[in-house]
Order: sequence, then structure tokens, then C-alpha cells
Amino acid sequence: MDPIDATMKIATSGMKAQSMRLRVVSENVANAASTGNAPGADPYRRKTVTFQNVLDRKLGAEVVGRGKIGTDKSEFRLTYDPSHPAADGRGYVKMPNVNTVIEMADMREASRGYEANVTVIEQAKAMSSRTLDLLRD
Amino acid sequence: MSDLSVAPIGAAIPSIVDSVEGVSGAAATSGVGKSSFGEAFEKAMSNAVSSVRGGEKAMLAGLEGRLGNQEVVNAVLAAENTLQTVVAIRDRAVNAYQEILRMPI
Repeated sequence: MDPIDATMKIATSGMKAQSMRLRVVSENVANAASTGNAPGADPYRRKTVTFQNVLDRKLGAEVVGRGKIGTDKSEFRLTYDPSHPAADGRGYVKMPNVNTVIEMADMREASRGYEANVTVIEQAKAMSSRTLDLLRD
Repeated sequence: MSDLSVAPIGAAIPSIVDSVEGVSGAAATSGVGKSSFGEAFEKAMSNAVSSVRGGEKAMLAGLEGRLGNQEVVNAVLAAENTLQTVVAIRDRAVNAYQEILRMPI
């Protein structure tokens, strides 16, 4: 396969991976205050996404595989709020282990990664059209 | 006479057709061989058309939300690329052909 066409496909897989990451970030941000309903119940647990390289035999190149969604095993934050339906016997509510600053950093990373892949596609397109221009006079 | 002089250009077509097929992912035909000018072009054009159809299909799928944005853009770009390649090569070959026709006899 033409390397330039392959480049476009590989960059597309990278863009999909970064969109997946953004999706997970948005889940975390949206659920940053999602607590349980019953006393002492667990709140939303932060999700993480990991990617793996996959060999695409048709392309003969490594692309980014489907992201694997896992969970962040860290401790939940405790806040004192006895009136909350999820408050335990001592009046503490478990809050999600989501840190919006970290999510913001992740989001920025996803955005930068996406832009990088878009730039790769732009470059591949420019190169192939420059080559075709040789035929025109 | 014109048949003889056109032969080198005609011989270049099969490789073009092959590369076009590679882009569109259509089934590979083994060696066009000594096909005529017109036949070779017809083949190249039909391949380009199928690639463009693929792009259109992807576009529709994207509008219906069955396909991701990136996939649609990728398919459309591939179709565009194929079409441009075919058109550029066609222009070139037709130019050469006309050059031969304009030859003073």
C-alpha cells in the first residue's frame, strides 16, 4: 500500500484514539459529583483509558488499537455532609476520586494529540498533491 | 502507425490501474496485458468511480451517525486522492496521444 495512504489511515486511528480519551475525560468530568444514594454507598469511580499498538496487516503498519477503559483504584474523597442521603453513620459522604485539574490536563493532552494527527494528515495530503502537481504543467 | 507509437503509454497504464486498485481496495485483476488505450482508461476510471462511491457511502453513513467523523473524512480524502491521481494521469496521457495525432504526416 502506498505509504501516504497508509499514513492517512494510521493518523485516523490516532484521531479515533484521542477522541476516545476525550470521551472518557468527559465522563469523569460530568460525574465529578456523582455520589451513591444509599448510606455509605460507593460514588462514581474515575475511569482511565489505555491504548495499545496493533499491527494492521492490510496496511503493514502499527496503528492505535481500541482504547481499553479501566478504573482508577485510588481512594474516594470523604466530605462531611450528614444531610446527604449517602452519608454514613458518622456523617461522611464518599465523593468520586475525580480530580478536575487532572482531567483538564488529560483533556489538553487529548486535544494536542488530535491536532498532531490532523497535522500529519494535512502533511500527507500536501505531499501527495505536490507530487501530482508534477504531472500538471 | 498510431498503434505502434502509443504502445509505450499503453504499457504504462496497467501499473497505474494496479495502483488505483490498491487505493480503492477493489479486487486485483492480474495484468491488464495488451489492452487498448480506451480499455485501460475505462478500467482506471471505473476504479476511481468505485473509490468515489466508497467516499459517498462513508459520507452518508456519517450523516446517519453510523460512522465516525474521522472515518468519513478518511474515506472522502482517499476518494479525492484517487480521483485526482486518475485525472492527472489521464490528462497527461491524453496530451501525449494528442501530441502524436498532431504529428505532421
